[in-house]
Amino acid sequence: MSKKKRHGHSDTLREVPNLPERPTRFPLKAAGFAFGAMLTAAVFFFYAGAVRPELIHFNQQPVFFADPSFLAERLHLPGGFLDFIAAFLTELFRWGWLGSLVLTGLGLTVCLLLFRLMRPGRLWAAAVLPALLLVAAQARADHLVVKTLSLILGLEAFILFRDFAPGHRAARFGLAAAALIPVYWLSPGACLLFAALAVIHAPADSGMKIPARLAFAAGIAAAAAFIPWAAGRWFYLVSERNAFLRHSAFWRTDVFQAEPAPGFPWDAAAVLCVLALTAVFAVVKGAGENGRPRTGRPSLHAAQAAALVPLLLAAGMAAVDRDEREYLAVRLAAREGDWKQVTGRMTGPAAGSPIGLCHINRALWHSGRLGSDFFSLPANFLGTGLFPDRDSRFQAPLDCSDLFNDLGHVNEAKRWAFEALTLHGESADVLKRLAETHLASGQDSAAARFLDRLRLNPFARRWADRRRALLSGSGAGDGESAAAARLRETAGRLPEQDFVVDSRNPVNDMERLAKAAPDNRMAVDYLLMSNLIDRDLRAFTRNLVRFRPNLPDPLPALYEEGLIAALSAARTGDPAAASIPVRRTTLDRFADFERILKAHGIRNAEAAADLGRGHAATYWYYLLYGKRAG
Amino acid sequence: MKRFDRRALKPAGLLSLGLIVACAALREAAPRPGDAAPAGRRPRISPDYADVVMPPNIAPLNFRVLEPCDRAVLTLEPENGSGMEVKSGDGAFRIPIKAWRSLLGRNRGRLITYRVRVKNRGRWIAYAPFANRVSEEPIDSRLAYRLINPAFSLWTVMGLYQRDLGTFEEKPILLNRMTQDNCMNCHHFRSNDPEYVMLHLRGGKGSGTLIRTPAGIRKVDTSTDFNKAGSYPAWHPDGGLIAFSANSLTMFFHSRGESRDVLDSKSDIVVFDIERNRVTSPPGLSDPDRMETFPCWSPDGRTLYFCAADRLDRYVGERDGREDLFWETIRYDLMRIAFDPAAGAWGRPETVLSAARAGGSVTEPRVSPDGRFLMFTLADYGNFPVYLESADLHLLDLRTGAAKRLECSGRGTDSFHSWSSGGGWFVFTSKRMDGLLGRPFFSRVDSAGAASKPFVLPQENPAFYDTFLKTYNAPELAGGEIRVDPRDWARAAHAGPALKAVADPSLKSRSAGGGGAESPDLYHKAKR
Repeated sequence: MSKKKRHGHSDTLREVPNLPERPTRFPLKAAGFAFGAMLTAAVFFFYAGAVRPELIHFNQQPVFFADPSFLAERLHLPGGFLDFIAAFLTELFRWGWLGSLVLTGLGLTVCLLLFRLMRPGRLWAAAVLPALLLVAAQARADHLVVKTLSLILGLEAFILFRDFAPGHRAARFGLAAAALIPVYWLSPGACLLFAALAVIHAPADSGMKIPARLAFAAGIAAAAAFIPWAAGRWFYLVSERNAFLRHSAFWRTDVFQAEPAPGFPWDAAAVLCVLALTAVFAVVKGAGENGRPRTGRPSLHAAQAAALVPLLLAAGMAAVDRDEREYLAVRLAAREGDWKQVTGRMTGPAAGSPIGLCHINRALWHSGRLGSDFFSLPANFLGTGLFPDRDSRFQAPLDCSDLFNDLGHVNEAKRWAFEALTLHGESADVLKRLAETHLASGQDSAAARFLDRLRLNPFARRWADRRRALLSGSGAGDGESAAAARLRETAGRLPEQDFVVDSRNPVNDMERLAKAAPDNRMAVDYLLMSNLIDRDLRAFTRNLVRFRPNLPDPLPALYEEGLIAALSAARTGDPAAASIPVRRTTLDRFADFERILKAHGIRNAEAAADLGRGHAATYWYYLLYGKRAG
Repeated sequence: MKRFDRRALKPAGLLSLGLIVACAALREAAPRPGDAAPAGRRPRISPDYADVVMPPNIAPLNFRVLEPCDRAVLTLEPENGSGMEVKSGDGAFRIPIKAWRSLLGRNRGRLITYRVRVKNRGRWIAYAPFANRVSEEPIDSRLAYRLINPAFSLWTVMGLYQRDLGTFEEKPILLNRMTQDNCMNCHHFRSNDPEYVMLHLRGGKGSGTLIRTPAGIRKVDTSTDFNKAGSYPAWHPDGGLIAFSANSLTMFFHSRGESRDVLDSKSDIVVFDIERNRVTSPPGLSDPDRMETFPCWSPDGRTLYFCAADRLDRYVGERDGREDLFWETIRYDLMRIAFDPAAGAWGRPETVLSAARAGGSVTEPRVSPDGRFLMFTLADYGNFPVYLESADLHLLDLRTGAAKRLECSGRGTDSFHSWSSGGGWFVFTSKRMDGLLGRPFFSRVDSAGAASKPFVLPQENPAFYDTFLKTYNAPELAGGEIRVDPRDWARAAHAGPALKAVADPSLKSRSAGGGGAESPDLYHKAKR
């Protein structure tokens, strides 16, 4: 067989007999390019619009430093170099369009490699199908870029081997076994894929006799098993699973303490599809043989194109978990302080999760609506919502840190940032929060440590430099003074007296924070709202009286409703509470509420329904029909 | 073909010669380190390696000058032999290891003077020199420690490492990525002997205590009906026994300063017999009315030192009209109990240094190898000094009974000390560099009990500590390399279930209704 033939670049009309005449070829090719370009553009817009790589970035919190010691640390693991590259690429996801470009580029690369691998000829859709599955896999917020890189590496390595390895079978085997070593170094998952493809191809390799083909396959399988075993035994300090399966699509627990990710395993499906189709093409056409050129009846191509479009749509729709996207979008907007974006999503699925609800309520506070709109959100009727529960805190520690940082509970913000450091590693967001909290609490030396580390991340260097300037007192720009003002504000809220943090019931901490700094409006509001949620009207009126000078005039509607409830239930005999003015409209609302209640009686379902129509967002309604927390 | 004309070379040659002469003249005219103007003060350097005493077998104390500079020159001038010059383009001096060794070897007991000159904006400045003394006594060659992120409730990546103190080589002893991400610590040697080493793994299938002797590694579960699994260890000098504390620790958090704090709600000391796989505890070490912890054998193995405080409910009282735990008043006394290794007989516990006399809570006692001194940590309260800013190192002269704060301590949290087998050197963890991350510092105690100025573990990159966010935890000095492949530890951890220790028949079961059960209530009281 000539080299030209082996490489599969000889799809000319002269070599393949009985094909349609020359004039039909050009339009087909052009149409193919056009379809490919359209498909690529569709994938790009799918990522940019529906997937939003910035959400993947937010979810994965990549750790990347342009530092030799960081790279050296990675190289202590098999596939560490690819991890380094993947960390860099994932950092690009912070810009949605760039992330979409990267993801599309990776998908396109896989697709082109599959064409080279399978040489599907007129059945070209077969090569696009696994790429579509990969596009779906990459849509998941927990899909690691390194797995795609590993797939690309495995495919490319095998194609190079297949096309350029010498024909002599001993030399061919030696080269395959030798090639597995650098491929393994780059990625154990790629090594497995390379070996699997080599084993699949071997039986169909017409260049060897059948016993030789079987011996070749067995030898490659043995080498693919031996290399990870030997690497784990002599070179790398990793567990056996890690030595064999790192980056593999079939191993889904790369992340510490992560449960195997729920949902359909798109990446594993993509790899299985690659293997299956490669086997089919190898058997049908013979390994190393040329595929048929892209000719044939236009209807066949049209049918394939027509089948792929709905498949792409179906895969995209199935792969994107909309609830998860919403949840991540709310969290990201909250991290960036985009409260309008958060409140705009308050009726969406994010409110169903404790962390999402907590951010929505944060956003309500920042928009000045917490004291009026809190109960307009049905999720808040569960009696939680201001603070995430214990499990949620450990699942999203940095979000928890965001909240406590807002509240001026700096040590708690610091604590949860450290938990995030453990969970996510030294990601830019984590280091920023650690630097901020240490700056706010006057621990400048520790803050400098985090800022110096952050400077090694090229994507966060500017931010770190600005904060470093604050430390040295040389900050001059607008950005610096705003950051300094924020820090001064947070530092000013620190309690003078130490107290033991009540992790189980943050309301107690709010009371202490509010006492320490009555101008800490957020702590005061969260305290009062917590009293209302807990139905502790005595504590509510006590605190309302205490912090009245720091509250706006008139009071937020829910505070007035709480006060009316406390006074009407005679739960307070405090004359100071009775003297707090309440708006006429609130009193009228209460009169209407009482009228409906008296008409039906409290226990009556009709009362609940009637009140629910006009008073569902009032505190009185929550008091009667809301769930009791715990 | 055109013939090559040699005359063409002449102008080129002349031009080159002229350039060379001009360069040489410029170089001669440029300011040189020798012409440096005196700065009239010492240079600011990081890490602070000025005026320290160095062991003769330590790696180069690389440092960087914190002065503006385009170039810098360090001249080391020893009292004996020729000196050396180290140049730097950015002010970071990396001293060649071979020349450094030879320099220290020739100057045991002598001074080495450091002269730093820097070039800034074309001018050379000479800073006032400083000197370091080379000790006669070497330090143990290896340092074992755990590297971990500043830990709160979660943990992920951690590992036990050993560092060759004569070079910059760091080798893993065991990494938790090899043992399913479990927690690991309480590594300990028998009298600094790397042949006898133990460590503790917590969480997952690999849980247990791994004890390595020349006979091999065995995994044991030291918990019995009487006690929880052992934590703080003390290996008897004879090798057959390990005393452990069995603690019930709870973490809580503060709103200001160091956030983390730990409360021990119940603890006893048990003694594990390695050969018989048996746990025992004399009444003096497991008194129900006391919380005993931090065991430490004297070098002759005839005395066990430990710390003890009254049981937790003694600290409960009324605060702000409510029942509360006065955690800030829990203080530990330094105790000891006599032991007859031949008969296995125990004496009665006695107080060596009461908390009242010490002026704080005494923890982490460590007796020097010659038995002369006992070093301990003194903090305002509690038994977890690594989280207490008030924690300092103190030295008790066991001959005179006099205790004092060590001169090297007092800046930030100092704790987790370990003696070198020679007795003069010791290592401790200090957070003095940033108040957050523990770094190993070395100091030397002379025969009068005076400690030299401490210096941080040297690193090849002088700026290493600026960006390294892991904390060095529980540093222990060892006389040599631990020659156990990390994979062997991992295999032993996962070889099967741990060998369950058996409680001595004389011990009554405490598994039902033990003190540990009361801790949550008290803990929540503390939180109010």
